[in-house]
Amino acid sequence: MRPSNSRFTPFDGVSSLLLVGVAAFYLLFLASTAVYLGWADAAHHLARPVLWQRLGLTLSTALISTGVAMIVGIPGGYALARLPLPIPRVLATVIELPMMVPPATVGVFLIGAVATPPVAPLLKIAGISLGHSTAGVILCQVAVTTSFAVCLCAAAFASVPARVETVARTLGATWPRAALGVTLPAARNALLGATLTVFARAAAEWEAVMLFVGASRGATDVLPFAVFLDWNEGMMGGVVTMSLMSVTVATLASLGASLVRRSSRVG
Amino acid sequence: MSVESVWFRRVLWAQLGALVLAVSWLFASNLDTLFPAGGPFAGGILSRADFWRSLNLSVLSATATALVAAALGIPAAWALSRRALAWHRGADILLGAILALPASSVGLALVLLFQYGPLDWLQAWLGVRVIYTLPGILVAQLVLALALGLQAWRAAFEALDPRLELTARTLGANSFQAFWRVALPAARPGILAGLVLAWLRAMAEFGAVLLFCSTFRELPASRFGELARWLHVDRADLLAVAMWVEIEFGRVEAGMGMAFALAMTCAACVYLVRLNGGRIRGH
Repeated sequence: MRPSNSRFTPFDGVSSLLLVGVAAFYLLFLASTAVYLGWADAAHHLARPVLWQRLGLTLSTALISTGVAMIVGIPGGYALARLPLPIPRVLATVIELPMMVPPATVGVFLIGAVATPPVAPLLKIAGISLGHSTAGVILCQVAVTTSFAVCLCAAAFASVPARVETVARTLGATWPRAALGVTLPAARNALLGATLTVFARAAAEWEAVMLFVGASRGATDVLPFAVFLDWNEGMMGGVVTMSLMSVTVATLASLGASLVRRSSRVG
Repeated sequence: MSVESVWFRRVLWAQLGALVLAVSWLFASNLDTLFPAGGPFAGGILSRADFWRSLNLSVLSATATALVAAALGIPAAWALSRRALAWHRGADILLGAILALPASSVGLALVLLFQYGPLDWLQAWLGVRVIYTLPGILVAQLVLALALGLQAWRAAFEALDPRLELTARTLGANSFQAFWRVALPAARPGILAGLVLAWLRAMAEFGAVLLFCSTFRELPASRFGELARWLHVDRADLLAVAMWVEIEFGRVEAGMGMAFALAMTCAACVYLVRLNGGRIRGH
């Protein structure tokens, strides 16, 4: 889309150079872990079962918390996109806040959130203990990703024109039927992309885990947390291998989300 | 409205109400920690010089990072908006992957690049070292702040009608004039939103800085240069890192005070973005 009289100016060169430079840096950044490690070391460390056990813990906790986040996020996002909010900016700020504050502060705030009545007695009755446990890890992931899920789902629903629903309702469908039968299928791919993004975010969570749950071998050492713990103990090879696993999860999720979203141009 | 629709509306409102309540609880349930019985407000951080140095360091470094990110990212985003579709898809995947990385992997990748990789040679050639130094904080912040800013800036430029710039070009403007006088003003809300988001992301940086730079509070004052002491950023950590140190040492009230300082800054920024009409997308 270049104009017919386009001359190549210095600004074209500089901006293109910046674009290529930034892209090259990020590519280098993603590849650095794999390049540093090399094949031989990777094979050596990948034979250690503890790494696979941590990957399993990361993926399973992230799967559960993604499920919870999307169960809240899909209706929440629909409500955010379609309901006439009374004080829209304030409410949107409140809902977005947990995804914008540093995850480490979410971990700090969780300390009070579960220790204050009525939550503390309820947890006691239910027999749930969160310190140094996998349940605590899942709580952290849910706390960090839920508002992210709501915002992504709201964007997915907002991409389906409200007119489509109005037409369905004029033709005799009730609101819930129009929402579930027309809008939800139309937003399906965008929601699928959102789910993958939320999953990647949950699998990357460790700051809140470190501050709220604490380290416990086999229960809370999800990959990103284990990278930090072992880094402090100077176990470089294992650390880089685990980081490579995290980078792979993030890259695959981003690739998947992009592929899914590409086939979802609505309206 | 049918009975079904009335109930549907009620369920949606209840869902939204529960969400707002849960988030409010997350923050409000900690307010009592700020006012410990018999102790000073927030563990006395307001009278501690290192807290103010930390705040100073966080604000100054986030501002510097956001400005560098803007100088690199806004022209790059503009160049991207004029590229073919394949570039856009590549940028989608690459930025998505960078923003989905755990902070510990970001910090580790920086260590590898600056300690063992090509940037090690660059540093040797330039005669500087950034790892475990205050300027290293800027490097660690820039990785994610730039990625987040780029997403906002490219969205802002892509939303523009391409005919605006084309018209300017036919009327004799060169590409820089078309960018500076037409595209940039027209995309202003999105550009500003990206700037605030990049600043906020830098302010909130924690894990990458912890791995790449460690902490500075225990170091002797002689380890810091004239400039750092003049700016009052020596022997201080980013607010999020300082908060972590306080919690690790069991000073929960002080850590909570810093957590609230960060949360209030974030709330103000998010509200500012909203007020400005910008949208927050991605993370």
